[in-house]
Amino acid sequence: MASSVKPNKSMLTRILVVMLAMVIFTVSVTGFRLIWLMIVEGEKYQSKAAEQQLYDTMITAPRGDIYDREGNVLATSAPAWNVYITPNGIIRIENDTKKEKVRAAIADGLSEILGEDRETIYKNTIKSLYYVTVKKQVDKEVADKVRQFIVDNSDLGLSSYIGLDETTKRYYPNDTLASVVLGFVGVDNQGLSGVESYYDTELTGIAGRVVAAKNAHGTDMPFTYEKVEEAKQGNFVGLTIDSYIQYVCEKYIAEAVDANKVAQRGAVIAMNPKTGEILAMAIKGDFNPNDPFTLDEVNKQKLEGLEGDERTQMVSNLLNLQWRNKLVSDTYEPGSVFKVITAAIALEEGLTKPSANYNCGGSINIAGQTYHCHKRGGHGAQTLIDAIENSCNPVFITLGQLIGSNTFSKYFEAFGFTQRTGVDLPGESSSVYHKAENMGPTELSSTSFGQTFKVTPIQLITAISAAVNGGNLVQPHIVSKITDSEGNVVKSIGTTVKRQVISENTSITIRSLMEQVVKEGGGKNGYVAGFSVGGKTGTSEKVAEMIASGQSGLYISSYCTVAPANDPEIAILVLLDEPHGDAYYGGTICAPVGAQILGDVLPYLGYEPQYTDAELGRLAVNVPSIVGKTLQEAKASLTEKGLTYKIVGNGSTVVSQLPDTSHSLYNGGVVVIYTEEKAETAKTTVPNLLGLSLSQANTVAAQANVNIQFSGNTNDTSVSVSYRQSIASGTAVDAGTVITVYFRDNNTGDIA
Amino acid sequence: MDNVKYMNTTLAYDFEMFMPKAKTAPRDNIIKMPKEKKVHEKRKNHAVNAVSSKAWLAVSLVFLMVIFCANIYMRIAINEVNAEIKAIQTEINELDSEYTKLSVDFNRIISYQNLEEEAAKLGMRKMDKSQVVYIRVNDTNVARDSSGAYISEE
Repeated sequence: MASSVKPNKSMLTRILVVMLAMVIFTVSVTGFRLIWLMIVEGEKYQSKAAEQQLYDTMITAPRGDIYDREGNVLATSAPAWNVYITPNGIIRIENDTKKEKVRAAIADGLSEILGEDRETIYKNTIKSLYYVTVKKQVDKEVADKVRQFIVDNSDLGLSSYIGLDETTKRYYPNDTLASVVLGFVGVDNQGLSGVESYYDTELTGIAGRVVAAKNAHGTDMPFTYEKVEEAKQGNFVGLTIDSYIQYVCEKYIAEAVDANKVAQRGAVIAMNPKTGEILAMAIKGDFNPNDPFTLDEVNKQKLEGLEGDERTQMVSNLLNLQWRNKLVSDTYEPGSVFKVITAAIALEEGLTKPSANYNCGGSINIAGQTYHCHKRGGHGAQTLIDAIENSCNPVFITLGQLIGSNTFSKYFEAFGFTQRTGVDLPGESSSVYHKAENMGPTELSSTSFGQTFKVTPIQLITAISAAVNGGNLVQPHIVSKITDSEGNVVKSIGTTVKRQVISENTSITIRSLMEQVVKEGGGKNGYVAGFSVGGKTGTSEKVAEMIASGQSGLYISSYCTVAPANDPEIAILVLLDEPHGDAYYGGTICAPVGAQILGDVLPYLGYEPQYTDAELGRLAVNVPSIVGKTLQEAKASLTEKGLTYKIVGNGSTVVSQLPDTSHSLYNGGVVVIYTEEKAETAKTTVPNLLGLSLSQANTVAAQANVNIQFSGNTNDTSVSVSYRQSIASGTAVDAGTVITVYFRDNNTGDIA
Repeated sequence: MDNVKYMNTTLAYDFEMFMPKAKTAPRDNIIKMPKEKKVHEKRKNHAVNAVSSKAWLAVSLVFLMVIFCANIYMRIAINEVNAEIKAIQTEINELDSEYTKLSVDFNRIISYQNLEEEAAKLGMRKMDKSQVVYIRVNDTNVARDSSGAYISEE
């Protein structure tokens, strides 16, 4: 019989010890490994786990708006979508036939909806990637089409392979308005030029994040784990630009560029001379920031016949040119406009006065170098007022010599020509000038009348503003304030006076001189009826460019005007770079642009015209309404207004009239009276109204039974001739039709 | 101690405590319960205890189930609300995009350039300066000197 052997005490003890040892060993090893994994390498595995289990998506922050001084939005952002595909998901389709079907459907469908190349999309579906963007920043209309496409192909399960990620897109509601100033953004909403670039940090905002759990396929598991950090919208930037003044400047500079066949773009800058606020910056040869990589029609023509690398390079050059802010980035020889500065220096130094006498013999010799006046025969005896009206080079060379190199250089620097203005726009260029130690008599002479040195237009208008605003050099700026998305002001930019350059008295004299230039001098075409304006014309030769290209006759025509002349609130500089029309003097082709701009802007700014008697006599009168009146009454009504008439028909009551009451006519204008309903409309042929004086044009028009509306220089002290008519000669029109005829004084020459 | 007495001045116990005592008659108010009843009571107590434990267990289980279900329900509800929020947010974003696009189109229509072009098509002309009549309107804000006389611009 077997008997059970119970372990004795020592055996039990031994068993216990061994078990304990094993337990301790196991626990130790496990514990040590746990400590190693959790503490020593804990961070590494945590990040790996997070990488595997979580996905991190950036939420694009909406970019801040840009608006003008009246609060009109010039640039804004709206939600948009990036269309993407998930090639990895397509690769995992087991059925090859279905896989190919899905690829083809995606390539066909998305290429049609998005306008992208089908082959490129197809190749993307083969890639071994989790996420491939097909197109960025599509708007809601396109996004809806993509969604509908997915729904229509639900049998293929396209929702697993096509997706839409939210982003934002930049819109510019006014298309080309102020495009060079505003600039544009890239596909990642980063500012690439203009205000968008300069204030990129303020406009960008802070991106948000979404951290969420993802499954083994790499797609998200909604609501398992999700942490969202909301994006913070960028700040809003308020410009000093006035949209209406900007529009007026762009309209008239575009007309001038076309009419004068300008080869290197035209530009206008309008500024408040007292505060430095830039009211408009118009450059023609610009672009649409909604589509910045498209060339305009003129530039497209330059690509004809080019291929390959040559074409690519030309496209790049033309794009950069159209984005370039000519008023800030390009330098030029200012020519006779600079004479305002020379005059201001001489007056401030007490070296001259308005009544001081000078003599112009047609040329002047300085240190063996002969400088000619634009009037080869010379202006003869003249005062300083006459000299500035005539833009006489020898007089200003004389003033320069009186001032001397050192003093001249000191004022040249004080007026801000030796440094960048610091305007809040990117790409501002530095000027090129003669330093004091290098300024000998000849350099001083040429500088005195605005040649052999180069400045930017923004530098020049800032200096002219200092000359007319009481002598203060102000900081030009294009932004007035920066606010957050809730309207709280983050930063405010006001008027900064850098220094006083000349005295108030000298400034008053300069304003008066500039007013004389418009009244009696080379700026006559800048005359605006009812308003006192000052101006100075300029025509500078592009000597370096002529030498480099072998071409002759390359000029930059310019005109600077200020208004009201006695206390300027607006200063405008007009530039036409390389005009190739029938005239190139600044006084002939730029001054009318300045006059047109002021003619629209001054009433807009609230200035009431104050007409002289002579101007009142030349004002047009409203055509009175005579329909329904008896013939006697109609005749009396027209005669009372100083108008003449032509009667068509045998009736005794007026049934219709031409022109109607929406028109204005000048003294002696013709109104055609129709007294019978079925009377044939009287016809006439538009005569040639070019090259005529005001009175000649009026007479010719009256003889042809048409009416004219005068535009441009109608100042009776000018020898104005017509140079453009709104309806071409020989056109058959109704009798009484109003034709706009443009006048200018062609005797406004002022080379340099 | 009551049973301590001194006998001949020595401390001793009261041995009467240890003497046999006369039997007293049982009290009338004592009712002897039958043994079964006692056993039943014991069982009942035991049963009651058993039932109480089970009840508590059941109640606890039910309570836990309720909490668990409530938790699940709460998560479902949260998820549903989150889904609703996301859907509404998406709708807001889409409407925002549409609104901005329409604003852009609207601004394009009312741009100065377009207005001028449309006006020209309608045969309208820009007004001439002579057609503008300036009317001086008395402002509510006026300047007066110390005598109360109105100070004009002139």
